[in-house]
Amino acid sequence: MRRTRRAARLRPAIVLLLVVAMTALFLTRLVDVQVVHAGTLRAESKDRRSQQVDVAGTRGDILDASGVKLATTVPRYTVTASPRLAAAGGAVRAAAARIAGALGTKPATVLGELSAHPASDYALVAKSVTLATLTRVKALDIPWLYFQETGKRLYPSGAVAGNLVGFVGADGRPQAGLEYSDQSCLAGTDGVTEYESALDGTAIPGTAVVEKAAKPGGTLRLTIDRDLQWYAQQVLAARAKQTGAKWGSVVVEEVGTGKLLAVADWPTVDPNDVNATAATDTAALGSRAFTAPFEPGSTMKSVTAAALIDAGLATPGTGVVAPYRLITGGANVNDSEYHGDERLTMTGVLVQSSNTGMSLLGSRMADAMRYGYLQRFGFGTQTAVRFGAEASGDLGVDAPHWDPQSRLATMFGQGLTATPVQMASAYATIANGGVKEPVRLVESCTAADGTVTTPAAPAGTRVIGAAAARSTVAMLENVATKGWLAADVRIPGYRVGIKTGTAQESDGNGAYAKGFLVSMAGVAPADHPKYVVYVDLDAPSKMNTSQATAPVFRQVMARVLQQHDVVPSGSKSPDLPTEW
Amino acid sequence: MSSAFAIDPVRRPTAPLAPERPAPAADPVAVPRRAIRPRVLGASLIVAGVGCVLATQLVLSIGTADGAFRLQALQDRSVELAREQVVRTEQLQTLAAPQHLAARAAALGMVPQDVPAYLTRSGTVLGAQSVAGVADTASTGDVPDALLSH
Repeated sequence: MRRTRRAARLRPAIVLLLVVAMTALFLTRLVDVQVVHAGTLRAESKDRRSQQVDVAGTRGDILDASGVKLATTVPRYTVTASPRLAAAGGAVRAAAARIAGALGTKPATVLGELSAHPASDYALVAKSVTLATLTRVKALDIPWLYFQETGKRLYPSGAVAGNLVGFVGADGRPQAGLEYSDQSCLAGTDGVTEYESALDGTAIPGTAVVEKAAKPGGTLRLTIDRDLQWYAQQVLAARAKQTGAKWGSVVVEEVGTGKLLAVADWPTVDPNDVNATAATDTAALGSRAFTAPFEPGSTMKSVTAAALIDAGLATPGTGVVAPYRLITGGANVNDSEYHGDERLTMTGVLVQSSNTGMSLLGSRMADAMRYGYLQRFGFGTQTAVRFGAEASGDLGVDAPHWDPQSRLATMFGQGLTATPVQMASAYATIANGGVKEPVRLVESCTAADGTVTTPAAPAGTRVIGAAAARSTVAMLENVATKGWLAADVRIPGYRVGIKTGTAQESDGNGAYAKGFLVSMAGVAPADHPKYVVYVDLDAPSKMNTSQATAPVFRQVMARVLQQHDVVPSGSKSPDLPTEW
Repeated sequence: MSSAFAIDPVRRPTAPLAPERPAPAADPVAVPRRAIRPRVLGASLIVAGVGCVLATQLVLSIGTADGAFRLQALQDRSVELAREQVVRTEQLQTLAAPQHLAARAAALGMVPQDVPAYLTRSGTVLGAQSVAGVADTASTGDVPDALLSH
């Protein structure tokens, strides 16, 4: 009786003990797995079951001043295959033929891709196909084909602003222009997404986890007007071909704001088809207007004249006797055409574009002072645009201690170099009442989150007085109305001021080449200047004078006045005496 | 000491008391007949109710599943249409290139007015007064666009 009672009490106790022991064991194991080894086990399992995918951050657009897209990213698709699974599936040849039919390529190419590495799980079948092609390939319903969305850089306006916007390489990395220099604004940040996958690599739906969100790039807005840019490029290209020029540029700057409305180069690259230009003319891949300085020639005379008036050393009516050839103090300077001694006022010197007359007038100013004016006008330094590889130009060897020849030559634009953008900026300063505004190409950068950044620009600086500026513009009007190209530059109803330039170019061996670099700079409407247009053409073989540039100037200036609803004032240009 | 015996030391289990009077026999006839029908009725109502609930649930789940398929199909279509829109926008941007527009305009006989002219309310013309020239298609094709030639 006692034993059974004890045994009876013992059995449940033993069972209870066993249960507790088992529980303890499970608990320990649970803690071991869930807490102690949790990290390691999780990491191990992830490697075996989940995959990481880089999600590209879309590259930002480049827009013109009104928001038209100059550069944008469009979706394209990559088709890859698994040769291993293809071989396992059989009928590879037939499938390759069907795929090639959908893609529009040769069956042999597709078959080659599939048989190159038969044991591999990856073979590139087609890169960068459109949605229409993708739909056709998907309709084939081949299980061992995989599709991925990628982006392709598209330039909807072709070569318009191609010199400024630049281009990207085959891998999507920027190589030139604003695409390259403003990478920090345009580039997106890649994100990472993780998803669980089955044994054969198929993604399990609903398991995608965004580890790091992809951030799209910012939008770059330029000051360029796309339609004006196209027009300038079209007119320049047509005239350059007509006159047999080697290259040319047109710069349109807005007076008072320093905004570049158009910077056209010819020849210029079409970023959609870089190879076509890279194969024939690598210098056309960039923007000559920013990067290729040259001796500007007589367009520089306006700058010298403005400086003389501002310093009080001359007025538009100051008279000199200009010979054909001037030999003085070791310098030998002559005019473009033989003539007898002419009694020219400073206005007349500009109208006739007399080198000797300008030398006589310019010699009234000390070299150091003239050098200071050149620097303040922006010559010898990069503009505020800081374009990729932008040239700063050169004010001559040992400036301002020029040798006697350079001393005189720099007064009429030889012996120093400048870029078209610097020339346009100098004329914009004269047109803006003597205040130089920093030149601007980039308007702003709008980040993905909406933050707008404008490039830092210093305030405008006064270079010459307002009166000196007005007088200079009046002289330029006289060049337009009385010069030999008066008929070519006339825009009826508007007051226009111009200066021509016919510069000798260095042949690279210390002497001057035969062809001239012809140019024209002008402002309009001269009563209240709003726009500056600078045109240059290099060595136009069929017309080696600045007459080659005249129609380009007139058409581009007329177009910009029309586009911006500038009503003709109808007033007459001042009539200044050219002779005394 | 005497208190030790105060308690009855041994209590034997006493014999049960006299048996109680037996309960009156249940009279089967005495149970009213009406109570049976409510039980059946109630049960059948409940079963019917459960059946209805199940049926409704079935119908609802079929409807939901159907709706889910339709929803998925519409979502797929929405994604497709969004892609299509991107493709069309791309085509539109390509066709809106200024080279193309100028060429089309010239082909239609349009001539750009090279010199600005303005008409005032009084009828005078400011600026140029000129007759439109002949459209020149050749003067529009000098700026290339690789996208248009595809």
